[in-house]
Amino acid sequence: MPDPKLTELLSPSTLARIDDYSLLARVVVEGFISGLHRSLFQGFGSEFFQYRPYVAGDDLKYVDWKVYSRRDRLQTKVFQEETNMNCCLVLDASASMDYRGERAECSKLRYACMAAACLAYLASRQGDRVGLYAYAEDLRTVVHPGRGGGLRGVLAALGGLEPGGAADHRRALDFVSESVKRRGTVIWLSDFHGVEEEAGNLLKRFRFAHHEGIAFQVLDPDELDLPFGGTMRFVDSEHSGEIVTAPEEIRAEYRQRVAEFTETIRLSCLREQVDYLFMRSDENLGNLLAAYLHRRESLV
Amino acid sequence: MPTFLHPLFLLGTLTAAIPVALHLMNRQLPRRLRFPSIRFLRTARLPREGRRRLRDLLILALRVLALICLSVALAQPVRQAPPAAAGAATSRQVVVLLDASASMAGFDSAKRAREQVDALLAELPRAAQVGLVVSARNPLLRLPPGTDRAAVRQALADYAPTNFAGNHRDALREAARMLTEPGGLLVLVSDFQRGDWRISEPVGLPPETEIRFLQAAPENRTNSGIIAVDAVPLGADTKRIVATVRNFATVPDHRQVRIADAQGEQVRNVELPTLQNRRVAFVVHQQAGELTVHLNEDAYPLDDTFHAWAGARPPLPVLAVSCVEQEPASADAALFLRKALELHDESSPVQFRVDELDSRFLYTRDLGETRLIVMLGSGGHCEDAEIGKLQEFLDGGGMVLWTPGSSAARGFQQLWRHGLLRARFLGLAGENGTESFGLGWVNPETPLGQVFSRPETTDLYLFPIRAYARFEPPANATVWLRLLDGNPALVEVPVGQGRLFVSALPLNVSWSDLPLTQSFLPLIREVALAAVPPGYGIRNLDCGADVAAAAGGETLDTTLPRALLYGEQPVQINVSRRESVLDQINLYDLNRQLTVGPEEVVMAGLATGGPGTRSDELWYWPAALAALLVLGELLLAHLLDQRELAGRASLDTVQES
Repeated sequence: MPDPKLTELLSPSTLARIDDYSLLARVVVEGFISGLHRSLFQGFGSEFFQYRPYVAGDDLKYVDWKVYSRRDRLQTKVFQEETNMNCCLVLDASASMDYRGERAECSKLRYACMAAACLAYLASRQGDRVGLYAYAEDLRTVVHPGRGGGLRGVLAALGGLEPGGAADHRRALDFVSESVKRRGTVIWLSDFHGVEEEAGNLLKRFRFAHHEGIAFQVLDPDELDLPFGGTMRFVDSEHSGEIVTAPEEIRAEYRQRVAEFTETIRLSCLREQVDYLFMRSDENLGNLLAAYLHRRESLV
Repeated sequence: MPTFLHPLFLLGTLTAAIPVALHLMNRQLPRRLRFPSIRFLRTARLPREGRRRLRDLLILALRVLALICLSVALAQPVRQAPPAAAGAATSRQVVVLLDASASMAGFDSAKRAREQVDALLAELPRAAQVGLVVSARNPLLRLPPGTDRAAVRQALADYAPTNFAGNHRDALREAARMLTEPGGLLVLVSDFQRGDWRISEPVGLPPETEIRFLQAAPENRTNSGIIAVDAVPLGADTKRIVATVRNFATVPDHRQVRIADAQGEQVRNVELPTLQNRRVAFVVHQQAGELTVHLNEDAYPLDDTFHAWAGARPPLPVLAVSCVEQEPASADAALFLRKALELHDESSPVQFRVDELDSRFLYTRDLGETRLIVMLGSGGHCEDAEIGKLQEFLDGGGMVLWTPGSSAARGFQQLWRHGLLRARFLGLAGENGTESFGLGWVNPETPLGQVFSRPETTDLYLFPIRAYARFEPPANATVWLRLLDGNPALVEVPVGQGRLFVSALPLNVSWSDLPLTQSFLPLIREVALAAVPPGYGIRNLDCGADVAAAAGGETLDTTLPRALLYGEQPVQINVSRRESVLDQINLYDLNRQLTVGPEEVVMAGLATGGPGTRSDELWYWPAALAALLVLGELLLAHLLDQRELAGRASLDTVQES
């Protein structure tokens, strides 16, 4: 279990006060995740190449036990690893990501940026090239992997992001799919509002291109449980719609619909073999990423 | 039915619309929130609207009521009894006090007073009981309140100002007695001259009596009048008449003074500065006693004529105090004194009557009518009691002529001891009998200086003086005569309100031949005339004054102005010049004086108009209610807020769990 003190240090309230994403990522990764996980993408996204006889010292998790059961011989899997894989961060910077509820220490975009910074740092540390594609109605910031300064460029771009506008998810992912040729990972960070039905589909294309797609959904706690009272006039962040309602009256129904929303996304990703992580912007980022990485390692 | 002293503040009730407007506006403006997505929201019936409305309505009501009460309090409501409508059956008592003093004869005040009372009678309900009191120096007419207006109207028609000075205290008491029921109306119709309305104690008005003041005199009045006339005989048929004219107004005046005598009419112009007197002198030839001086008439004519007595006046009593036993020569002095003073002189304004008295009886003598005491050498033989008697006489304004005798030293000592004369006695000059002295100087600024303006033509300096009392006079003494050696022969010092003359020579021939000279008579008479006060011998009376009838005589009628001899006493009867003064009493002060005491009397107003009403202040009720409402609103809002916060906190706890 992570050190509780370290957990406190990596709480959103602490991380939100670190403006330097480089420092933030290093704090999170080196101080918390690195001790447990060497690489985010270790062994994942690499294709099986061949077997070789087991040599003392090999990691037992790479021993093919099925082969051993049939042939009674210890064989170690050998994967074909790309030394310069791409890690593409696709970040939703639309107006809906600018929301910050009273219980969150930062906005969703800020939280997503912190997560993106950690992921970029991890990827960069293992030698992968990192890129950033931030979008709203159009591509806001583009840092191609291997170009634009690498990790430093990505972190700088994260620091300069300003949310706004309506999200055009498809357009952004189309652009990314056309831009990224080298194999790698595409990590999509968004709240996925309005795209829950096709989230998996949008990432599926990357799998066909030998990319791995990962969906990180970020929502504010207010979006989940609608804690407001009295009469409220809700104005949509990205569109011109507004509605006057009594949150207390519709809270239960709202929660159910939001749960359905997130479940739809999860199932959509699951169907398309896209990894999915749900994040609340008031959750401990270190815990969240650590749990996610642990889960990923268990799947390999 | 309440009315308001400051009705404009009632507009403040419109501010009650502000919280109502805020309440309505707040209801239409729910909290706005930019939310990531509204896809999962739907409209709903506003929850807890009923409770919120009730709470808001309750607080709103408290605020609105508080604002309304505050506005009403600022408007100062007063409770008034409804005015009696025309023809309404009300038997309210109304007493009209009508001023008939002399000042009402001027400036058309009487006419205005009649019109005002007429208007008042027309306004009063038919059932009102109306009474009337006409007053000058005392109540002249009393009509108790009744429904018959005919008597009142007849009295009003007969009303005319008198020649009398006003004093309405008794009339006010009379009017108060007529008002037998509370809630009556007392109407004062007057020019409210200050001197007529001096009230030193409550008059006993019933409770809730309304007082109304009807001003009969116009504003910006001016007036001048003759306030005094002095007649000084110059000869057998010639008199010098000095008329004193006063301007009672605050603007200058220019008038003409006229006097008629056997030879015709004389006119003098006089300029009168504001609030000042001026004297105008005439020389008339007249034998008759009564003399009339006229001023050209103004709006107030009763002070433009003065009836004066120019005839003979009663003799001035002179008391000659001697002590024959100790001073045998004082008997001669008394003789000389009597002959000099009782000599009839038509050119003298006053004659004298000399009474003799032994100094031993001075202490018991009634000095009420005495104006002049001549101590004929007897002062040195008087005891402290007699000297004290002289001191009282001097303090009261009398005059004493002190002459030395054989005990001159003791006499001066007595004067010193009693503080009458701080003169250092230097002894008797000419004791050895070989010296001869004489008078050498007359003070020209004294009456003697006018009489002996050319002393060389008289024997004043020619008679021999064998002895005299030498003394050093005090600093405040006026020297009338000096001897040749410079020592004072006659000095005057003021003592109290009187005057003390001290002579260095007795009025006998033991020390000098003064009584034997021709100068003795004018000298003694001129000194004696100094004891005659202005206007001596003439009794001045105001019209309407009560005069006790002389024994066996008729009652003196003072109704009309005139000058006459009443018995042996000359009397001048004129309209009181107090009625000429234009100062008016402050009606608020008068109202306060009338309402002093346990009675409730309220002043209705100063202008003519309908019957006034009783008013009670009511502002404190809405003010207190506003304060309570504000406190209640604050308390209720606080309690409800606390309750709502507690409810939200529990909701948050549930959500977190």
